[in-house]
Amino acid sequence: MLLPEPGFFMICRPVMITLMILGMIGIVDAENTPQKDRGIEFFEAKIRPVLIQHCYECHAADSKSIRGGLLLDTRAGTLTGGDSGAALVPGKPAESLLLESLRFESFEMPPSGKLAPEIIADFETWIKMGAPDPRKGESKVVRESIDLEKGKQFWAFQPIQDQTLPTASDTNWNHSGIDRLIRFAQEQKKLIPAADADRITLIRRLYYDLIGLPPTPQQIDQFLNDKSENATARVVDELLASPHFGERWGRYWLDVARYSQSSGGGRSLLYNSAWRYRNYVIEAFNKDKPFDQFIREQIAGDLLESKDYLQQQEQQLATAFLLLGPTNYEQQDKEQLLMDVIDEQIQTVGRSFLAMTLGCARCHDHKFDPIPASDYYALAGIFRSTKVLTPGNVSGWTKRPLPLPPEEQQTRDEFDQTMASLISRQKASQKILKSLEQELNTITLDDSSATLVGDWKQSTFYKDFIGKGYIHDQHTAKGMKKVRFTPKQLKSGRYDVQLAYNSAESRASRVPVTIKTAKGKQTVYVNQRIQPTDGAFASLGTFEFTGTKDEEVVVSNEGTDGFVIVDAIRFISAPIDPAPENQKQAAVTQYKQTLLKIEETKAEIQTLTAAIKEKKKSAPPAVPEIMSVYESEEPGDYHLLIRGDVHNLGKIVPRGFVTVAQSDAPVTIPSDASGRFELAQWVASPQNPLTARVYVNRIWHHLFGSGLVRTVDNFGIRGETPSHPELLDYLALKLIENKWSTKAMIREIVLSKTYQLSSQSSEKQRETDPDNRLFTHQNHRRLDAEAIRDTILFVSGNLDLSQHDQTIKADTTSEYGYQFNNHYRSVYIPVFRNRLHDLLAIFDFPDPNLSVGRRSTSTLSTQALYLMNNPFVIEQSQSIARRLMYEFPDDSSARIDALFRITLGRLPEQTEKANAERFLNQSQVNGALTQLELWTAFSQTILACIDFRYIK
Amino acid sequence: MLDANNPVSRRSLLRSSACGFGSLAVSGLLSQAHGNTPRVSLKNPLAPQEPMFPPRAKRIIFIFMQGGPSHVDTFDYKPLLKKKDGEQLEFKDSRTIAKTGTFGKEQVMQSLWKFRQYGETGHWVSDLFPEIGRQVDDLCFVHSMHTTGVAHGPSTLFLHTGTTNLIMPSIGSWITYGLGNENENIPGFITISPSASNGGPRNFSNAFLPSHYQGTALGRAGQPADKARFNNIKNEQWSISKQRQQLKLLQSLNQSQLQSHKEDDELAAVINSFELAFRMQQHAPGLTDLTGESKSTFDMYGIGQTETDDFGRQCLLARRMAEAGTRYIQVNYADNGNTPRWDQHSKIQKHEIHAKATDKPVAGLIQDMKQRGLLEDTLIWWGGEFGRNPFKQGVDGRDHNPKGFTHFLCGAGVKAGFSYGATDEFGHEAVENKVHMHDMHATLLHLLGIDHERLTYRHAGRDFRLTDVEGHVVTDLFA
Repeated sequence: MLLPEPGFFMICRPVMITLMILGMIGIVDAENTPQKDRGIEFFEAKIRPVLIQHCYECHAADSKSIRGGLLLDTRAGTLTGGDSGAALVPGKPAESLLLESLRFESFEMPPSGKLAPEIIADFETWIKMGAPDPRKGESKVVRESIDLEKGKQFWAFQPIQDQTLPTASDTNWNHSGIDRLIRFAQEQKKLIPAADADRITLIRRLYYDLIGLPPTPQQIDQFLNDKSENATARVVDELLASPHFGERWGRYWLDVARYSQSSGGGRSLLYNSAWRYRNYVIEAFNKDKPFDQFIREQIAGDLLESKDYLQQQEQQLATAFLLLGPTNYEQQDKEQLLMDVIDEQIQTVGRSFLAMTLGCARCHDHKFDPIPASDYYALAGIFRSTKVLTPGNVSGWTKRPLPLPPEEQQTRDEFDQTMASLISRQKASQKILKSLEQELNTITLDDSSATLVGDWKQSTFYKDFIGKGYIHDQHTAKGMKKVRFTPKQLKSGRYDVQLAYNSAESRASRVPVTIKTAKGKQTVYVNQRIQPTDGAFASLGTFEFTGTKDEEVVVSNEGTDGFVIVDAIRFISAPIDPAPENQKQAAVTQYKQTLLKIEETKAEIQTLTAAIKEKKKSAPPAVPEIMSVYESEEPGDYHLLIRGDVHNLGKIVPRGFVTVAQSDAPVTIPSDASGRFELAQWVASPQNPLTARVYVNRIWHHLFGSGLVRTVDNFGIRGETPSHPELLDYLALKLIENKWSTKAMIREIVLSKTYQLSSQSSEKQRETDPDNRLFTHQNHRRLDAEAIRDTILFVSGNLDLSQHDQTIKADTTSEYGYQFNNHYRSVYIPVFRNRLHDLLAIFDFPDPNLSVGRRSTSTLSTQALYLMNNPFVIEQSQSIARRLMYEFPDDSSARIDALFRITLGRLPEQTEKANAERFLNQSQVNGALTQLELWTAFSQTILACIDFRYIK
Repeated sequence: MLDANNPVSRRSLLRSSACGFGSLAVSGLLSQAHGNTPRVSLKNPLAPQEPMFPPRAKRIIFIFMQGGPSHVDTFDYKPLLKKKDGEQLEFKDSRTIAKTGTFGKEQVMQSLWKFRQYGETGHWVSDLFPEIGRQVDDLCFVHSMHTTGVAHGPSTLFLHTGTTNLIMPSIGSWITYGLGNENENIPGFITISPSASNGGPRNFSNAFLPSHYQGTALGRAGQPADKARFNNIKNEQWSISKQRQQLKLLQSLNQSQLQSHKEDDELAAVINSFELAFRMQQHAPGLTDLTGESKSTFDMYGIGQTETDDFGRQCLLARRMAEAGTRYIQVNYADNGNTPRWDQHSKIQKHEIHAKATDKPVAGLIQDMKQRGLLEDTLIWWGGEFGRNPFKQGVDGRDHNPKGFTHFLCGAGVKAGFSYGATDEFGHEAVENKVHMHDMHATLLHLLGIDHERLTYRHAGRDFRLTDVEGHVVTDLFA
């Protein structure tokens, strides 16, 4: 054999250079063989034309897109193969993927349909010949590896820098770091910022931004009357301390956490305890839980130390973050399901904390960011070492019992122990009973196990039947119906055969029962008008069975004069007979003793069953289950999956994090742990160049409607660069300095001059900086869906401001057709993946299938239709109208003013008031509207106007 | 006033939108940096877009047969099944392979229905579909369909969005994103009586595309089609004339409130959204009002006959929407169960109920569209998320078969009286001229004048498209 050993190709496959040389050796060798010409001829005649016609479209250097990394247009490429390995092994058709694919055994190539059998046979011959191939040239698939050192130069992966603050020449702007940096940048462009917002605008902005509700006219007045220097700070502190703060800011996080209460996917399952995660998030913001801790809890809460059960509750609940994704639990390929769940977790962790699109590295190295596929599978190894799925045709997610207070836990434990002991005693007795019965060799065959001939009717009319009921012949078709019992499991021996039935006057008096054994056939007759001797069973006599398959007991209705009943047949092992009298006596005694023991055991079981039932009555309340993950029993590294195909395993990748964002030496993950703990530490570390920046940018985005990096979920190369890199770092360091306090960060920003500017812009500003990236003025922002709904209910006086836990209605089994009628704050409305609240959905509530840091804002006619026609809007408008009419019975002008004050926080402009008055008068004259209808229509109009929907 | 037979004439509405709101209309992209969205005007994302190349069709009606009708019992005639009926043979069953990685023997089951040849083309159709059978000379069959996913959820999502588990826009959303609306007064993408199960709204969702491209549901599965209405289209309290006064007040308030932020295009869009809504309120209900349709039209669709009334109405609604210029119309023969209508894991004979309910309505739609000349620029597409196995499941059922099944096309741009591709001799796997669902998607977009590789949208740092990195246009189907 002149060609190198085929195995050699396989081993060296990844090393391109070696391979090309080997390929060339192959050619040289081929040229030296006497068979060369014939081989090449064969190739040219039979193989090359097929490759050109059927393969080159996707597997040649000039293909529009090369599939599977495989090139078949050179010998080198063919031998090297693609992502799935060598395409062929010369001389070994059985090991050649190319041939398998042509035969549609693994891949199915060409995709347009199987080639003719002759062609496939040609390929086999050709490979057997050693795959002679004159085509020269290198395989041109260039696998560029990512240059991580170069990648690290990208701004987002650089360490956070301490900033020297510039001094703005405009001295009004030198009071805070934010203002100095913002103003300094504006001065570079010779831009003049807008004036400060007026105080009504400011308080409205603060209320919406911090708690998502408008200020009442009283709250506005109070603020306007507070002339002290720290009036604004006072309001800000009040709002930060409000329980509604967490409802507003928690919801932002829920967007990012793609929070939902159902699984979505094909068969959408309800996440019944997901609300606990929602409330955990709201509480975290209300308590100002340090954000680094918040991160650690969500990634690895189950692995953190806890000081008490409450902390343990929180930490375990937090890991629901990993489970809340959209998952197709009915996916039949369970390996695929697992990797899909893991993929979703990697994507969400990447996007939410790091603003990285890690999912792109599932099938290949990231095309834009310096994230190799090996990083993806390093993370996948961590999540694969975490248990999140429970098995089943339709799978499920992992759960834990909610940790209880110590005293409750103790009661619970005691109860569990007692129950466990009772149940184990019950089981033991049942086991004894079974073995006693076996000793007695009793077998009962219910009617349900019999073969029926003719039409027998099921019944449960007379109680005390064996099994689920009995059957009768309906007193028809005499001689045509039979019930056949075949006692296959019977050990050979003598048995008393008994028939169970219930007696009555209407029954047959002579039911023929034929017992067929190896010894012969015998028919006995049973009078079913008489109660069976044993209460339920009547003895048919003793017979000898050998346990062969021909033995049977057949009940017939032939010649009967009434209803024939069949409930069950029982075989009771009978003492051996005939036998010497003394032996027989002994056997009978033993038999009786066993019977006695059976009775005793039965009584024992009954007592235990009663005790269990009694104990259950005093059971402590059921422990709620929470969504939570576990460490897997067998943690370990996992393979890189070739092209993301779960069945195509590549090399094993050691677990780890995103290499390019790692400033310290790589962390080693203990072999007995998943690595989630280490991952959580790394993500939440102040050294991580992304986490703090990403988070302060999210806060900034919510307070300005636009982030310093506007692509808040993508800090990668395809994302935008920061408008103010120094400010971003300044804020990130502040966050870390203030122990990752969200409230401190928000306070600092909203008390800046930058935040408090008017949203009125000048022509010059718009010209120089059309996107307002320099923040020369505040942005004019549309309220989000929740704020629109909450405000409508708030001003109508119908908003339920209390906190809620489970809000999915009891007995809900499916989200389909779910009716959302409630008046609590929008954050408590159930979020289902396949069904969202109408108003929320129409006003751009984010798709809960995706992690969303920046909601879209659309302006659609469906929104207009909703505001014009939806009964909810009309009902709430009517409540507003009632309120106005009640508060201002006679004064139409005061009513108009009040309506503007409660809904828009201000009095009407002159023209507005004039238009309103014209509408009220005209409509009154023209139509026969009642006052209530009129004011309802007017209130509704205000809910639909621009100033209601936008904050300045 | 509107002509009752033609409630929203496309031409008249196009004219009104040309001099009216069409040029400003609705906005929503302005506040976002979207990256690669070259095909969409920022001012009006719904405005008609030029196709990338001359289209063969302007719109599509998709008739969705939920649950997976059995191709070997309907359009894919396999005489061998009768010969081998009851025999235990080796089949690579998809579900068994997905679950266990291996496969074994299955028992061949013949069709319960007789097949006969129809039309000049002599295409074989079973007695389940005699009415559609009579239309075969107008149909373009694809017998070599295959798809991804084995269970309903994944495969249904794949059919609609090109993926089993990622969150991706529906094909109707991609099409309206690519082509805009023909008629701005009605939605460009309507799904009639959609199912809440097996992905539910995700099957007509815009996912990451702007919300303008979301499908509008008319009615829902389980609700009679004659009760189907658009949401919030009517004010139950006020007459149109009173509402007009209210709108006048609203727009006067908005005009004055607009003054402080004149530069903000979104505010003008708010004003326009109310104008448009008010007009939709006048036009859209006409679409669902069948009172002007003739008795003979009703008969053609089987409306008035118990078995066919409901689906007949859906099909007739589809014709009216096509006439009015809706780009993508989906008709759903669906319910809300996890084992949907055509899903006969047992009792394959129940196919008869579903065939009866849809045969005449579908045939009626084809005939009606043809006689009105609508097939000139409308493409009809018929099919389920997968087919069924040629072998038995349980006593008398057939399990899902994603490896080979039949869809048919009809109308604009495709060959009439044509059959393409084939399954193996049992009808289990597509073997000749295979057409994957991705290929079908690519082909449909191509018929509309869209290159499936160029219709992309940037999301999460990547350009996405309906066909991912797959999809071949099956040009052999083109007329």
